[in-house]
Amino acid sequence: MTTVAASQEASAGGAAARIWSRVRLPLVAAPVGGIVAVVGAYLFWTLRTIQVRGVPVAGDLRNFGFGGVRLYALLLGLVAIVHGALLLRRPSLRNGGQAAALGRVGLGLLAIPIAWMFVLVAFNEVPVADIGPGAWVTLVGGVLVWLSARGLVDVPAGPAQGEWPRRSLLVDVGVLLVAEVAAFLVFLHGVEVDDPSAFLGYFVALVGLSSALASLGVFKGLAGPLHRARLVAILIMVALLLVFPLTQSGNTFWVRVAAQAGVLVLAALGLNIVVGSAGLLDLGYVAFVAIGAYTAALAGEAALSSQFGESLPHIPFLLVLFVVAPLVAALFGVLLGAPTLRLRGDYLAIVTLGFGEIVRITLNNIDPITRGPNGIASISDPGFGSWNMSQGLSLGGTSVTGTAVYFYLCLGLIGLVLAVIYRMSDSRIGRAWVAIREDEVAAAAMGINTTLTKLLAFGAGAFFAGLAGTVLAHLGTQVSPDSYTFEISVLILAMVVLGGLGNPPGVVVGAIILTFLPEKLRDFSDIRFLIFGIALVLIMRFRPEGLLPSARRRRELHATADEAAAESQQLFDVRAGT
Amino acid sequence: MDELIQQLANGITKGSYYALIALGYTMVYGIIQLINFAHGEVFMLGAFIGLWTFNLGASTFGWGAGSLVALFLVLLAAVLLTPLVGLGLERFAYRPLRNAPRLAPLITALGASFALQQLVAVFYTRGFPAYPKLFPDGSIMIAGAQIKYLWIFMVGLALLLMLGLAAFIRTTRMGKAMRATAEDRDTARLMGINVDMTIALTFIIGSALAGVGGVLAGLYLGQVNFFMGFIAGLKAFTAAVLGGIGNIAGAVLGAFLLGILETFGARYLGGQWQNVFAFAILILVLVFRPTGLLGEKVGA
Repeated sequence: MTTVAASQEASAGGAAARIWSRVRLPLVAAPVGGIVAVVGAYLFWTLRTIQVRGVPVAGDLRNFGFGGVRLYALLLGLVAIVHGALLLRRPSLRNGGQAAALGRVGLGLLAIPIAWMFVLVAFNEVPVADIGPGAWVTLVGGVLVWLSARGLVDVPAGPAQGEWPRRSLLVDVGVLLVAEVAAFLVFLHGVEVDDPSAFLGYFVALVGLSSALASLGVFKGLAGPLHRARLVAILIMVALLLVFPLTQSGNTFWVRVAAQAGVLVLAALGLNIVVGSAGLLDLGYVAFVAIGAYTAALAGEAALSSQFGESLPHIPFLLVLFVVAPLVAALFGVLLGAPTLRLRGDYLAIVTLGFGEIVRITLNNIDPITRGPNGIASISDPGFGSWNMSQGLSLGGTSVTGTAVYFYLCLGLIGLVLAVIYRMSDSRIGRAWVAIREDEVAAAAMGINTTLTKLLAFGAGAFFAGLAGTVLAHLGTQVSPDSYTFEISVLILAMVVLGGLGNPPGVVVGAIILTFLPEKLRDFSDIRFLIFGIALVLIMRFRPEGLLPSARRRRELHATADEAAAESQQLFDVRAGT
Repeated sequence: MDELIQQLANGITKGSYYALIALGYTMVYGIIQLINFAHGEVFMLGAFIGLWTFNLGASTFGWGAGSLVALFLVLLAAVLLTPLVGLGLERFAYRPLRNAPRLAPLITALGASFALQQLVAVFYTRGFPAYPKLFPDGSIMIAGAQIKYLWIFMVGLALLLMLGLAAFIRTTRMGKAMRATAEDRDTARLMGINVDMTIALTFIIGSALAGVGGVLAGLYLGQVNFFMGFIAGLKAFTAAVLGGIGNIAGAVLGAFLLGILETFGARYLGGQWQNVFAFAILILVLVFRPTGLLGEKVGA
């Protein structure tokens, strides 16, 4: 049986090699397509100045050159030329992984002009006739590259992808340094791109290139060094993140967005415990963030004193941050959870949804304490002694703004929360959560007190939400009920789902993407929630494990697919044997 | 006393469109154990389809207020078009995930609900368009309370549809197939029942009922909004749970009860607490009697 299968494989490889040697057309199409795309990128893309809200943008697309969105078409075109030429010259490179990577580059290349045209036609009412030849030529080039990759489908599958093996610690560290600095620079460049149409190009190119790298197995390979030199990887990342506010040259906008992303990362990590680890769908999670934020606002010195006079004792910020607000939120989590966690999972979802609405409406209605729809403004500026956070920090010759201090605070908290979460997930409690998620009846039979364990998950999730809420209240210096709507609950859920249910690094990535992307695409803020809704449906349909899945969940979700593949493989063997 | 009866009538009228939504929730839950979050949006789309049909008719045939022909055609359009939405949801969002972990279809349902809301918000309006007054104005005094004809029509239609649905499920072959599928999908399939089609049929019927509910709600409230399905859907789900999920008579009973309780709650606690009151009922029912008033029935 095995010999038959082996010979089958060999003959399949032989057939593919014959096809390769005969059909040169797909091979030639890739570099040619790349050249066409580069030429297209050089030509003008539009005949008139496009204005968004009265401000001319992407005006440089009218001339010959590589300005604006065309830069990314140029980049992908060059990649296609080099990759295509390599495949043409080196038969040994031709395999499924390479073909898939080339295909992703081609898709990215053709998606850039399409996305750009869509924005122009759908949002800026530019007639199709006004789109210049450059965009069309680039589109044709992208299609050529993509078709070229499609023509290579019969090539043998790529070599098995795995972690890069250990060479020496120095190599690992070098690889990590290069990878992380590159990722950081790509991120910084994305922050710098102001023009929305150019950003769209950046984003499409980023998605195309990273999925090409994924199909070459680069990300899986990186897992090796990442695993072996964890500490170094973390140190490099922390160093880069500390530098981030300094790269913004005094402009606090993106630092503020980064701080908000930090807050949302905290919240998403908390929700991840509830949804990802314990498998309890919480649709009113933002209520706990709101409770934390309001607690912080009320406990903050300025707010309290103006509310009830100076007679009340001042609660220090650190006490509020780490103890009071999270505990109040956790208390509400337990209060909600205690009676409802016995319910079936889908009932729980709807109860939490109702709870989220109850909290929001209540905050809106109890004027004497929360000041109703206006919310509480001018929340105190926390500090130590004579120093307040909003003053910023200066050390030696460099100084950072107050917003950056909040960003650093978030970084510290995220580090802390991640440490706690990892300790928890390896503990008895963490394993109990997973057991309950997998099979509640079996978990109960193994002696796990399911209600108590679920309550702990709920309480822990609410605790972190309270933490996030405190930072959010001080960062925004005001709280009001309409910041804590159902939409925000869904947004946080989308972060968890997009990143990878149950996998903290994935959740962090999901939260960062879903905070920065809407800020970058402000022109489309109208359709932001439409995109979230559609994205949730599509992710569940096509990639339920998210961008960075935990190993366990990837296995779970693809177990059936793998079994089916194994089954068909077996059939194939049988047929080959007869 | 007059006041009491007036509030009772208000509550029952509200209950009539809650009931029409709750039926779809309870049927879908009964057959595939999925909380179809997007069902409230189907209801909302029903209202908007009615509005669009009327606008079309008003501009081409000069329909005006109080035209019963227009009312009939608006209802017909809602009944015919909303099932397409439900069917699309079932086919493209839920069916591929039927064997996935339970969290997956729930999140999908949520996403679909969001997407449908935003489709209307982005491509039609975020405002509160006024709903045409298709039903003749006028009212009757019963025991000192002023009852509009529209209210009688709404309650009557809701009850009629519910009875029709109950008869359909109890007596027809397709109804029997639905009951069998709800009870045990695999065995039903072995018995030669086309399970996929039966589930699709459940979505079709549920959506059509929600579509009628949408038009009625538009007539009753006088205005519609892209967000109306969210709260109404949540309340209808509460009603379905209150009556015992999967139970058709229970859904209707729960809906009327919820409408009445909510109206009284709003009257005596203040209108701004109305929704809190409804959700508090939901939580209390789930905590103290999760099987609902009439008990759960898996077989629709």
